[in-house]
Amino acid sequence: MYSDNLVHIWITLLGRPANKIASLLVENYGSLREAYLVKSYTDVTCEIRNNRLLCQRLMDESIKDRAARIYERVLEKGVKITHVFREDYPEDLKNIFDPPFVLYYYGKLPDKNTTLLSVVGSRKCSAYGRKVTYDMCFNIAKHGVGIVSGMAKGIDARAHVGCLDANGYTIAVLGGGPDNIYPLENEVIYYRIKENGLVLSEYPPGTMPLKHHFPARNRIIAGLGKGLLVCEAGKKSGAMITVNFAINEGRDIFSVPGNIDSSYSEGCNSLIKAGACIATSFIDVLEGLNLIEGRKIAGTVGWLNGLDKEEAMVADLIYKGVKIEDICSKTGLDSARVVAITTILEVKGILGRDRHGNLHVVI
Amino acid sequence: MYSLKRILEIALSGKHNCMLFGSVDLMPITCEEFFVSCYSPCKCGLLFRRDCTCTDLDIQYTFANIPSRQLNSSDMYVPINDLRQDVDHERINTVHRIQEKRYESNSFKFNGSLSRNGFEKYCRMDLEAQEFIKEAQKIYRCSMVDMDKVFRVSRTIADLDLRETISKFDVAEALGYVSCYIYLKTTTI
Repeated sequence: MYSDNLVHIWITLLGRPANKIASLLVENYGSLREAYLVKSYTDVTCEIRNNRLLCQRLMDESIKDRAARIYERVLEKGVKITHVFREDYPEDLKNIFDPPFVLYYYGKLPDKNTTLLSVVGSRKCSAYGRKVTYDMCFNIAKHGVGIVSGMAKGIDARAHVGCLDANGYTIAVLGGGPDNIYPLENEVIYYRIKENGLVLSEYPPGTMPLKHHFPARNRIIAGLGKGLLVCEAGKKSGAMITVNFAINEGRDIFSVPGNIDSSYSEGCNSLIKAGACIATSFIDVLEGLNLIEGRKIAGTVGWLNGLDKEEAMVADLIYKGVKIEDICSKTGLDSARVVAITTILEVKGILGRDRHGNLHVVI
Repeated sequence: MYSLKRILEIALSGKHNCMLFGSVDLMPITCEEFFVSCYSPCKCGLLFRRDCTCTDLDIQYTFANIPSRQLNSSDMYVPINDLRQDVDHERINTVHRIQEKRYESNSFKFNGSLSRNGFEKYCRMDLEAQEFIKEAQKIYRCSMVDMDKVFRVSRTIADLDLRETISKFDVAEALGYVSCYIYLKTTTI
């Protein structure tokens, strides 16, 4: 049995970094297929004979069997595969140090022109962190930016839910196989992402989510996005590992400030101290990613286009900070009309309610 | 934005149960057919209106202490801070007469006691309103019981304007009176 995908799965089992081994094999044998067909010691070239471990593994039949078993499982589970040399492989991920050689996924891979933003945070988080993450991701996704996160508890889960509620594109990078739902409490989110986004993993289906997989998965999260938003992170949180990866790859870091006495926000505040961009609203993030032009954002030219005269008047007043009670007297409309118009604006997605139920402009 | 005069007008003419939030000096109106109750929504009493300083837990606590029968059976939930004003009784009486004529064959008399199987017959909406209500249901993620409230109140609002079909603005206004409750329910409980 031979197939292109099988050979690429076999390469990942030979050692790390897989792309260096692949290029070495291509140099010596011309193609990966030729390398796969090596059976005896006499076929091995001089250069690879010096690398004893690789030489052994190259001739080892049991590794080929393992690759075949994984490939069978992939076909059985309906998992899709892409590898570094394909065109649909995410461009930003290709350029990081040690990119995953093969990606196993469900869903659809991102288009070339979608901008992605990675969102990280700790699993243990406060109500403030959950709320801020949801709001930020909801609004960012509404402006056409995809959200990448890890589908863990806490901040990660809220980021995915915020994006899905806004009908946005979201990517979940898992620490086990793509068919392995972990943690199980996020089962609903998993199936929603599988339908509308992408569930991604560098581990073959059936792999358990082991402890050491998660730091390695963080490099994929950092690599996929154009920038990294840290919503709430403690000082020794796993989110800080992702931040280190992102800094090494030259990504922009956005950090949401928190209370100075809160242990949940210690990491975020120390990042701001070290020079990360401060994200107090989703507009800061869009500005940092150079996406602000041509979008409908409150206060910019043409943000009231497509509204009636009365609707535009009310939206403008609320944006200027006029109190809700004073709107009737300022516009000259009666109370019933103003209630109706604010509800229509809320349904259109221009107004929203804050933590205490007050109306404010959200676009 | 919300005016007490308008709320009482709707509540009296349709006999809707109604709940007011705010530190108003208003005795609850009760009679056999309906009630208007008044509660403070949080410790500082400024929720929905100005910068409230209560924590989420405070709001949750006060909200949970409102008797659930009054909370669930109300049709309108409105934050209010102005004083009681006289309502136009003649206008209300006209609406009463319209409803009596409409519900001749039924056991009930007013919009406030309209139930789900009566909506199709009595709450006729134009196309624009139907589209709007579908969209709003998705955005607010409201339950069927919440939608019943919207249907009832919008029927009365259309009656006050002496119209038989319900328009988009009637539905939007009715939703505006329920939105505070939907918000509280989905975020704090």
